[in-house]
Amino acid sequence: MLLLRWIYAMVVRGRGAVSLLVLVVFSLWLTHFEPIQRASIRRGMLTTVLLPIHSVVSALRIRTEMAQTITRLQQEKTLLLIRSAGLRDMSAENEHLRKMLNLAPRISYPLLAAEVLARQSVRPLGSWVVDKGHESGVEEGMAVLAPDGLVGRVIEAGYGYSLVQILTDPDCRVAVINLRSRHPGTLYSPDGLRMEVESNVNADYKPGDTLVTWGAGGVFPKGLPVGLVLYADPHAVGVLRQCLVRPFQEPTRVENVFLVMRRSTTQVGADQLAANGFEVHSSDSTAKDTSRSPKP
Amino acid sequence: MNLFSRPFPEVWRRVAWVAGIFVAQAVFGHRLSIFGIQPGILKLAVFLFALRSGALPGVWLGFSVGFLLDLYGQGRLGCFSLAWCLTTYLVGLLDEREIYTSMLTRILVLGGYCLLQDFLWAWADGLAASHIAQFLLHNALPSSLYTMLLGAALFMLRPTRSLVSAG
Repeated sequence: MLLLRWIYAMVVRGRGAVSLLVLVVFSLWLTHFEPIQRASIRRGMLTTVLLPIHSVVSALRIRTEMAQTITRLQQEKTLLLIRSAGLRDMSAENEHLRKMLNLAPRISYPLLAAEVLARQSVRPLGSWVVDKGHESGVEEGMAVLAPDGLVGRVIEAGYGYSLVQILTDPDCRVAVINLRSRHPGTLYSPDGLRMEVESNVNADYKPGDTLVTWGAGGVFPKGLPVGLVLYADPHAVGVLRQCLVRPFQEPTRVENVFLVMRRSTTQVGADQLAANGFEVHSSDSTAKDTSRSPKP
Repeated sequence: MNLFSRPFPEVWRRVAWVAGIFVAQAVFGHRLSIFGIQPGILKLAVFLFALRSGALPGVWLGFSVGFLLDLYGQGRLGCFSLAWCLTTYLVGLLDEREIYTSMLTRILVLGGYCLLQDFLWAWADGLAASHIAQFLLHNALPSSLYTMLLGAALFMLRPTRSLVSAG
Protein backbone atom coordinates (compact mmCIF):
# COMPACT_ATOMS: atom_id res chain seq x y z
CA MET A 1 0.00 0.00 0.00
CA LEU A 2 2.84 2.29 0.92
CA LEU A 3 4.55 1.45 -2.34
CA LEU A 4 1.45 2.36 -4.32
CA ARG A 5 1.12 5.66 -2.52
CA TRP A 6 4.79 6.40 -3.23
CA ILE A 7 4.30 5.60 -6.92
CA TYR A 8 1.23 7.86 -7.05
CA ALA A 9 3.16 10.70 -5.40
CA MET A 10 6.01 10.32 -7.89
CA VAL A 11 3.61 10.32 -10.82
CA VAL A 12 1.82 13.43 -9.60
CA ARG A 13 5.12 15.22 -8.98
CA GLY A 14 6.67 14.36 -12.33
CA ARG A 15 3.63 14.42 -14.54
CA GLY A 16 5.54 15.83 -17.48
CA ALA A 17 8.20 13.12 -17.48
CA VAL A 18 5.60 10.38 -16.90
CA SER A 19 3.46 11.70 -19.74
CA LEU A 20 6.49 11.72 -21.99
CA LEU A 21 7.36 8.18 -21.01
CA VAL A 22 3.84 6.95 -21.64
CA LEU A 23 3.56 8.70 -24.96
CA VAL A 24 6.97 7.54 -26.16
CA VAL A 25 6.11 3.95 -25.28
CA PHE A 26 2.74 4.31 -26.99
CA SER A 27 4.37 5.81 -30.10
CA LEU A 28 6.96 3.03 -30.24
CA TRP A 29 4.17 0.50 -29.90
CA LEU A 30 2.36 2.15 -32.84
CA THR A 31 5.45 1.82 -35.04
CA HIS A 32 5.21 -1.96 -34.86
CA PHE A 33 1.88 -2.23 -36.62
CA GLU A 34 1.74 -4.10 -39.90
CA PRO A 35 0.73 -2.15 -43.04
CA ILE A 36 -2.76 -3.75 -43.10
CA GLN A 37 -3.36 -2.83 -39.46
CA ARG A 38 -2.07 0.70 -40.09
CA ALA A 39 -4.45 1.12 -42.99
CA SER A 40 -7.43 -0.06 -40.96
CA ILE A 41 -6.51 2.24 -38.03
CA ARG A 42 -6.13 5.20 -40.35
CA ARG A 43 -9.41 4.44 -42.08
CA GLY A 44 -11.21 3.98 -38.76
CA MET A 45 -9.88 7.20 -37.28
CA LEU A 46 -10.42 9.32 -40.34
CA THR A 47 -14.01 8.16 -40.77
CA THR A 48 -15.00 8.62 -37.13
CA VAL A 49 -13.07 10.78 -34.69
CA LEU A 50 -11.22 12.86 -37.24
CA LEU A 51 -14.07 13.13 -39.70
CA PRO A 52 -14.90 16.80 -38.85
CA ILE A 53 -11.26 17.88 -39.25
CA HIS A 54 -10.92 15.79 -42.37
CA SER A 55 -14.07 17.32 -43.84
CA VAL A 56 -12.96 20.88 -43.08
CA VAL A 57 -9.50 20.30 -44.55
CA SER A 58 -10.91 18.58 -47.64
CA ALA A 59 -13.55 21.23 -48.23
CA LEU A 60 -11.07 24.08 -47.85
CA ARG A 61 -8.51 22.36 -50.01
CA ILE A 62 -11.06 21.69 -52.75
CA ARG A 63 -12.29 25.28 -52.63
CA THR A 64 -8.82 26.78 -52.88
CA GLU A 65 -7.75 24.35 -55.58
CA MET A 66 -10.93 25.07 -57.53
CA ALA A 67 -10.35 28.79 -57.25
CA GLN A 68 -6.80 28.33 -58.50
CA THR A 69 -7.99 26.08 -61.32
CA ILE A 70 -10.64 28.59 -62.38
CA THR A 71 -8.07 31.40 -62.42
CA ARG A 72 -5.64 29.27 -64.42
CA LEU A 73 -8.34 28.25 -66.89
CA GLN A 74 -9.42 31.84 -67.34
CA GLN A 75 -5.85 32.85 -68.06
CA GLU A 76 -5.49 29.99 -70.54
CA LYS A 77 -8.75 30.93 -72.19
CA THR A 78 -7.62 34.54 -72.61
CA LEU A 79 -4.29 33.42 -74.05
CA LEU A 80 -6.04 31.05 -76.44
CA LEU A 81 -8.41 33.78 -77.56
CA ILE A 82 -5.47 36.06 -78.30
CA ARG A 83 -3.69 33.26 -80.11
CA SER A 84 -6.80 32.37 -82.07
CA ALA A 85 -7.27 36.01 -83.13
CA GLY A 86 -3.61 36.11 -84.20
CA LEU A 87 -4.02 32.92 -86.23
CA ARG A 88 -7.14 34.24 -87.91
CA ASP A 89 -5.29 37.42 -88.78
CA MET A 90 -2.35 35.43 -90.15
CA SER A 91 -4.70 33.25 -92.16
CA ALA A 92 -6.36 36.29 -93.76
CA GLU A 93 -2.99 37.83 -94.48
CA ASN A 94 -1.77 34.57 -95.99
CA GLU A 95 -4.77 34.42 -98.30
CA HIS A 96 -4.24 38.04 -99.26
CA LEU A 97 -0.57 37.46 -100.08
CA ARG A 98 -1.41 34.35 -102.09
CA LYS A 99 -3.75 36.43 -104.23
CA MET A 100 -1.02 39.00 -104.66
CA LEU A 101 1.41 36.31 -105.79
CA ASN A 102 -1.11 35.16 -108.38
CA LEU A 103 -1.34 38.73 -109.67
CA ALA A 104 2.41 39.22 -110.08
CA PRO A 105 2.94 37.09 -113.25
CA ARG A 106 0.29 39.10 -115.14
CA ILE A 107 2.28 42.33 -114.87
CA SER A 108 5.36 42.69 -117.04
CA TYR A 109 7.00 45.28 -114.77
CA PRO A 110 8.86 44.63 -111.53
CA LEU A 111 6.62 44.85 -108.51
CA LEU A 112 7.55 46.05 -105.05
CA ALA A 113 5.48 44.80 -102.14
CA ALA A 114 4.51 47.38 -99.55
CA GLU A 115 2.31 47.54 -96.51
CA VAL A 116 -0.32 50.19 -95.91
CA LEU A 117 0.75 51.97 -92.74
CA ALA A 118 -1.91 54.61 -92.43
CA ARG A 119 -4.93 56.07 -94.04
CA GLN A 120 -5.53 59.77 -94.09
CA SER A 121 -7.70 60.57 -91.12
CA VAL A 122 -9.53 63.52 -92.70
CA ARG A 123 -10.41 61.68 -95.86
CA PRO A 124 -9.91 57.96 -95.20
CA LEU A 125 -10.58 56.99 -98.80
CA GLY A 126 -8.39 59.74 -100.22
CA SER A 127 -4.80 58.71 -99.61
CA TRP A 128 -2.71 56.10 -97.85
CA VAL A 129 0.81 55.93 -96.53
CA VAL A 130 2.81 52.85 -97.47
CA ASP A 131 6.10 51.68 -95.95
CA LYS A 132 8.34 51.95 -99.03
CA GLY A 133 9.94 55.17 -100.19
CA HIS A 134 12.48 56.50 -102.63
CA GLU A 135 15.26 54.47 -100.96
CA SER A 136 13.50 51.43 -102.46
CA GLY A 137 13.26 53.05 -105.88
CA VAL A 138 9.73 54.36 -105.51
CA GLU A 139 8.95 57.45 -107.56
CA GLU A 140 5.99 59.73 -108.03
CA GLY A 141 3.44 58.54 -110.53
CA MET A 142 4.03 54.83 -110.04
CA ALA A 143 0.87 52.73 -110.16
CA VAL A 144 -0.28 50.93 -107.04
CA LEU A 145 -1.99 47.56 -107.28
CA ALA A 146 -3.87 45.41 -104.82
CA PRO A 147 -4.59 41.69 -105.40
CA ASP A 148 -7.81 42.36 -107.31
CA GLY A 149 -6.86 45.42 -109.28
CA LEU A 150 -5.65 48.98 -109.46
CA VAL A 151 -6.02 51.05 -106.30
CA GLY A 152 -4.10 54.26 -106.98
CA ARG A 153 -0.75 55.86 -107.65
CA VAL A 154 2.17 57.32 -105.75
CA ILE A 155 1.93 61.06 -105.42
CA GLU A 156 4.89 61.54 -103.11
CA ALA A 157 7.88 59.37 -102.27
CA GLY A 158 9.75 60.17 -99.08
CA TYR A 159 12.42 58.27 -97.19
CA GLY A 160 10.80 55.10 -95.87
CA TYR A 161 7.29 56.01 -96.90
CA SER A 162 5.22 56.99 -99.89
CA LEU A 163 1.90 58.72 -100.16
CA VAL A 164 -0.59 56.94 -102.38
CA GLN A 165 -3.54 58.69 -103.95
CA ILE A 166 -6.30 56.12 -104.31
CA LEU A 167 -8.97 55.92 -106.94
CA THR A 168 -11.76 57.18 -104.70
CA ASP A 169 -9.94 60.48 -104.20
CA PRO A 170 -12.13 63.04 -106.03
CA ASP A 171 -8.94 64.62 -107.41
CA CYS A 172 -7.84 61.39 -109.05
CA ARG A 173 -8.46 60.78 -112.77
CA VAL A 174 -7.54 57.59 -114.60
CA ALA A 175 -7.78 56.98 -118.29
CA VAL A 176 -9.57 53.67 -118.82
CA ILE A 177 -10.77 51.66 -121.78
CA ASN A 178 -13.74 49.38 -122.18
CA LEU A 179 -12.38 45.93 -122.98
CA ARG A 180 -15.43 44.95 -125.01
CA SER A 181 -16.10 48.07 -127.08
CA ARG A 182 -12.56 49.57 -126.84
CA HIS A 183 -14.13 52.93 -126.07
CA PRO A 184 -12.06 55.07 -123.72
CA GLY A 185 -13.25 57.06 -120.74
CA THR A 186 -12.07 58.79 -117.59
CA LEU A 187 -12.55 57.17 -114.23
CA TYR A 188 -13.11 59.43 -111.25
CA SER A 189 -15.01 59.65 -107.99
CA PRO A 190 -17.45 62.56 -107.67
CA ASP A 191 -17.87 62.30 -103.89
CA GLY A 192 -15.12 60.05 -102.54
CA LEU A 193 -17.48 57.08 -102.39
CA ARG A 194 -18.98 56.25 -105.78
CA MET A 195 -16.87 55.70 -108.87
CA GLU A 196 -17.94 56.72 -112.30
CA VAL A 197 -16.52 56.62 -115.77
CA GLU A 198 -17.09 59.63 -117.96
CA SER A 199 -17.14 59.03 -121.68
CA ASN A 200 -18.44 60.36 -124.92
CA VAL A 201 -22.24 60.24 -124.99
CA ASN A 202 -22.04 57.96 -127.98
CA ALA A 203 -19.51 55.55 -126.46
CA ASP A 204 -20.69 51.98 -126.08
CA TYR A 205 -20.85 51.22 -122.36
CA LYS A 206 -23.08 48.52 -120.92
CA PRO A 207 -23.50 47.03 -117.46
CA GLY A 208 -20.97 44.22 -116.97
CA ASP A 209 -18.30 45.75 -119.20
CA THR A 210 -14.75 45.41 -117.87
CA LEU A 211 -12.59 48.50 -117.59
CA VAL A 212 -8.79 48.42 -117.67
CA THR A 213 -6.22 51.21 -117.74
CA TRP A 214 -5.76 52.71 -121.12
CA GLY A 215 -2.17 53.85 -120.75
CA ALA A 216 -2.91 57.32 -122.09
CA GLY A 217 -1.12 60.03 -120.13
CA GLY A 218 1.75 57.71 -119.34
CA VAL A 219 1.03 57.41 -115.64
CA PHE A 220 -0.51 53.93 -115.56
CA PRO A 221 0.72 51.02 -117.66
CA LYS A 222 -1.83 49.74 -120.12
CA GLY A 223 -4.13 46.86 -119.19
CA LEU A 224 -4.30 47.00 -115.38
CA PRO A 225 -7.71 45.79 -114.17
CA VAL A 226 -9.85 48.61 -112.79
CA GLY A 227 -13.51 47.65 -112.42
CA LEU A 228 -16.88 46.70 -113.85
CA VAL A 229 -19.59 48.94 -115.26
CA LEU A 230 -22.63 48.65 -113.00
CA TYR A 231 -25.00 51.06 -114.64
CA ALA A 232 -24.90 52.96 -117.92
CA ASP A 233 -27.59 55.55 -118.57
CA PRO A 234 -29.05 54.72 -122.03
CA HIS A 235 -30.85 58.07 -122.26
CA ALA A 236 -27.94 60.39 -121.62
CA VAL A 237 -28.13 63.75 -123.30
CA GLY A 238 -25.41 66.30 -123.95
CA VAL A 239 -21.79 65.63 -124.78
CA LEU A 240 -20.68 63.33 -121.97
CA ARG A 241 -22.18 60.37 -120.23
CA GLN A 242 -21.46 59.01 -116.71
CA CYS A 243 -21.59 55.29 -115.94
CA LEU A 244 -21.47 53.82 -112.44
CA VAL A 245 -18.43 51.59 -111.84
CA ARG A 246 -17.62 49.00 -109.19
CA PRO A 247 -13.85 48.73 -108.71
CA PHE A 248 -12.37 45.24 -108.71
CA GLN A 249 -10.52 46.02 -105.52
CA GLU A 250 -12.55 47.14 -102.54
CA PRO A 251 -10.27 49.90 -101.12
CA THR A 252 -11.28 49.52 -97.48
CA ARG A 253 -10.01 45.93 -97.37
CA VAL A 254 -6.50 46.58 -98.61
CA GLU A 255 -3.58 45.91 -96.27
CA ASN A 256 -0.75 45.08 -98.65
CA VAL A 257 -0.10 46.56 -102.07
CA PHE A 258 2.30 46.22 -105.00
CA LEU A 259 4.01 49.25 -106.45
CA VAL A 260 4.56 48.88 -110.18
CA MET A 261 8.22 49.82 -110.60
CA ARG A 262 7.77 51.61 -113.90
CA ARG A 263 8.48 55.29 -114.25
CA SER A 264 5.59 57.18 -115.77
CA THR A 265 6.36 58.28 -119.31
CA THR A 266 5.59 61.89 -118.45
CA GLN A 267 8.20 61.71 -115.71
CA VAL A 268 10.73 60.19 -118.11
CA GLY A 269 10.03 62.93 -120.64
CA ALA A 270 10.32 65.62 -118.00
CA ASP A 271 13.64 64.20 -116.86
CA GLN A 272 14.97 64.18 -120.43
CA LEU A 273 13.91 67.79 -120.92
CA ALA A 274 15.51 68.77 -117.61
CA ALA A 275 18.71 66.94 -118.65
CA ASN A 276 18.78 69.01 -121.84
CA GLY A 277 18.57 72.24 -119.90
CA PHE A 278 14.85 73.01 -120.27
CA GLU A 279 12.79 74.26 -117.37
CA VAL A 280 9.96 71.82 -116.70
CA HIS A 281 6.56 72.69 -115.22
CA SER A 282 4.20 69.81 -114.59
CA SER A 283 0.79 70.43 -116.14
CA ASP A 284 -0.62 67.03 -115.18
CA SER A 285 -2.58 67.94 -112.09
CA THR A 286 -3.81 64.40 -111.70
CA ALA A 287 -0.36 62.91 -111.48
CA LYS A 288 0.99 65.33 -108.93
CA ASP A 289 -1.32 66.71 -106.33
CA THR A 290 0.82 68.98 -104.23
CA SER A 291 -2.06 70.28 -102.15
CA ARG A 292 -1.59 67.42 -99.69
CA SER A 293 0.89 67.52 -96.88
CA PRO A 294 1.79 63.94 -96.07
CA LYS A 295 3.26 63.55 -92.63
CA PRO A 296 3.15 59.88 -91.70
CA MET B 1 4.51 23.15 -15.60
CA ASN B 2 1.01 22.08 -14.86
CA LEU B 3 -1.83 21.88 -17.30
CA PHE B 4 -4.30 23.12 -14.73
CA SER B 5 -2.07 25.65 -12.97
CA ARG B 6 -3.18 28.43 -15.32
CA PRO B 7 -6.63 29.60 -16.31
CA PHE B 8 -8.25 26.78 -18.21
CA PRO B 9 -9.41 28.70 -21.31
CA GLU B 10 -5.95 30.14 -22.00
CA VAL B 11 -4.39 26.75 -22.73
CA TRP B 12 -7.33 25.64 -24.82
CA ARG B 13 -7.33 28.90 -26.72
CA ARG B 14 -3.76 28.11 -27.68
CA VAL B 15 -4.77 24.57 -28.59
CA ALA B 16 -7.47 26.04 -30.83
CA TRP B 17 -4.88 28.26 -32.45
CA VAL B 18 -2.66 25.28 -33.16
CA ALA B 19 -5.64 23.37 -34.59
CA GLY B 20 -6.42 26.30 -36.86
CA ILE B 21 -2.80 26.43 -37.97
CA PHE B 22 -2.89 22.68 -38.63
CA VAL B 23 -5.80 23.20 -41.02
CA ALA B 24 -4.13 26.27 -42.57
CA GLN B 25 -0.89 24.36 -43.11
CA ALA B 26 -2.77 21.48 -44.76
CA VAL B 27 -4.69 23.81 -47.06
CA PHE B 28 -2.40 26.76 -47.78
CA GLY B 29 1.05 25.41 -46.83
CA HIS B 30 2.13 24.90 -50.41
CA ARG B 31 1.52 28.57 -51.22
CA LEU B 32 4.41 29.62 -48.99
CA SER B 33 6.72 27.23 -50.76
CA ILE B 34 9.90 28.77 -52.22
CA PHE B 35 11.77 26.57 -54.71
CA GLY B 36 9.87 23.62 -53.32
CA ILE B 37 10.86 24.37 -49.71
CA GLN B 38 7.94 24.71 -47.32
CA PRO B 39 8.20 26.31 -43.90
CA GLY B 40 7.06 24.32 -40.88
CA ILE B 41 4.33 26.67 -39.72
CA LEU B 42 2.81 23.97 -37.59
CA LYS B 43 6.18 23.27 -35.99
CA LEU B 44 6.53 26.96 -35.25
CA ALA B 45 3.07 27.09 -33.68
CA VAL B 46 3.68 24.04 -31.49
CA PHE B 47 7.13 25.37 -30.55
CA LEU B 48 5.61 28.64 -29.42
CA PHE B 49 2.88 26.79 -27.56
CA ALA B 50 5.44 24.68 -25.69
CA LEU B 51 7.48 27.75 -24.78
CA ARG B 52 4.45 29.55 -23.46
CA SER B 53 2.67 26.63 -21.81
CA GLY B 54 5.44 24.40 -20.54
CA ALA B 55 6.45 20.75 -20.94
CA LEU B 56 3.28 18.96 -19.84
CA PRO B 57 0.82 20.69 -22.21
CA GLY B 58 3.58 20.71 -24.79
CA VAL B 59 4.15 16.98 -24.73
CA TRP B 60 0.44 16.26 -25.09
CA LEU B 61 -0.07 18.76 -27.84
CA GLY B 62 3.06 17.55 -29.62
CA PHE B 63 1.85 14.00 -29.41
CA SER B 64 -1.64 14.95 -30.65
CA VAL B 65 -0.32 16.87 -33.64
CA GLY B 66 2.15 14.08 -34.39
CA PHE B 67 -0.58 11.48 -34.16
CA LEU B 68 -2.76 13.51 -36.56
CA LEU B 69 0.13 13.70 -38.98
CA ASP B 70 0.63 9.96 -38.60
CA LEU B 71 -2.99 9.36 -39.48
CA TYR B 72 -2.86 11.70 -42.46
CA GLY B 73 0.47 10.34 -43.67
CA GLN B 74 1.30 7.15 -45.46
CA GLY B 75 4.37 5.92 -43.59
CA ARG B 76 4.75 3.96 -40.42
CA LEU B 77 2.35 4.89 -37.61
CA GLY B 78 3.82 6.48 -34.50
CA CYS B 79 6.87 8.09 -36.11
CA PHE B 80 5.51 11.62 -36.08
CA SER B 81 4.00 11.09 -32.62
CA LEU B 82 7.32 9.98 -31.20
CA ALA B 83 9.32 12.78 -32.82
CA TRP B 84 6.84 15.51 -31.95
CA CYS B 85 6.18 14.56 -28.34
CA LEU B 86 9.87 14.16 -27.56
CA THR B 87 11.00 17.41 -29.13
CA THR B 88 8.07 19.43 -27.84
CA TYR B 89 8.70 18.13 -24.34
CA LEU B 90 12.31 19.30 -24.60
CA VAL B 91 11.22 22.73 -25.76
CA GLY B 92 8.63 22.84 -23.00
CA LEU B 93 11.42 22.53 -20.46
CA LEU B 94 12.42 26.05 -21.52
CA ASP B 95 9.11 27.38 -20.20
CA GLU B 96 9.43 31.10 -20.62
CA ARG B 97 7.77 31.77 -17.26
CA GLU B 98 10.67 30.06 -15.54
CA ILE B 99 13.66 30.42 -17.86
CA TYR B 100 14.69 33.54 -19.73
CA THR B 101 15.82 32.92 -23.29
CA SER B 102 17.08 35.65 -25.62
CA MET B 103 15.65 35.98 -29.09
CA LEU B 104 18.77 34.54 -30.71
CA THR B 105 18.64 31.53 -28.40
CA ARG B 106 14.99 30.96 -29.24
CA ILE B 107 15.72 31.10 -32.95
CA LEU B 108 18.61 28.66 -32.60
CA VAL B 109 16.51 26.36 -30.41
CA LEU B 110 13.75 26.52 -33.04
CA GLY B 111 16.25 25.40 -35.70
CA GLY B 112 17.45 22.58 -33.49
CA TYR B 113 13.87 21.61 -32.70
CA CYS B 114 12.98 21.32 -36.39
CA LEU B 115 16.11 19.38 -37.29
CA LEU B 116 15.85 17.01 -34.32
CA GLN B 117 12.21 16.40 -35.07
CA ASP B 118 12.96 15.53 -38.69
CA PHE B 119 15.86 13.34 -37.63
CA LEU B 120 13.75 11.44 -35.10
CA TRP B 121 10.98 10.97 -37.64
CA ALA B 122 13.42 9.64 -40.25
CA TRP B 123 15.07 7.35 -37.71
CA ALA B 124 11.75 6.00 -36.43
CA ASP B 125 10.52 5.47 -39.95
CA GLY B 126 13.45 3.14 -40.51
CA LEU B 127 15.36 5.16 -43.08
CA ALA B 128 18.94 4.04 -43.70
CA ALA B 129 21.70 6.26 -42.31
CA SER B 130 22.74 7.51 -45.74
CA HIS B 131 19.16 8.38 -46.60
CA ILE B 132 18.74 10.16 -43.30
CA ALA B 133 21.80 12.30 -44.02
CA GLN B 134 20.50 13.12 -47.48
CA PHE B 135 17.05 13.88 -46.14
CA LEU B 136 18.42 16.17 -43.46
CA LEU B 137 20.68 18.00 -45.90
CA HIS B 138 18.28 18.43 -48.78
CA ASN B 139 14.90 18.69 -47.07
CA ALA B 140 15.11 19.25 -43.35
CA LEU B 141 17.86 21.86 -43.28
CA PRO B 142 16.39 24.27 -45.88
CA SER B 143 12.95 23.90 -44.33
CA SER B 144 14.37 24.53 -40.86
CA LEU B 145 16.16 27.66 -42.05
CA TYR B 146 12.95 28.91 -43.62
CA THR B 147 11.06 28.18 -40.40
CA MET B 148 13.75 29.96 -38.38
CA LEU B 149 13.32 32.99 -40.59
CA LEU B 150 9.58 33.02 -40.01
CA GLY B 151 10.19 32.35 -36.33
CA ALA B 152 12.49 35.36 -36.07
CA ALA B 153 9.75 37.54 -37.55
CA LEU B 154 7.18 36.06 -35.19
CA PHE B 155 9.39 36.47 -32.12
CA MET B 156 9.87 40.11 -33.03
CA LEU B 157 6.13 40.61 -33.28
CA ARG B 158 5.42 38.70 -30.07
CA PRO B 159 8.28 39.16 -27.62
CA THR B 160 8.85 36.75 -24.76
CA ARG B 161 6.49 36.91 -21.79
CA SER B 162 9.18 35.67 -19.48
CA LEU B 163 8.72 36.46 -15.81
CA VAL B 164 12.47 36.00 -15.30
CA SER B 165 14.83 38.79 -16.27
CA ALA B 166 18.01 38.30 -18.30
CA GLY B 167 20.26 39.13 -15.36
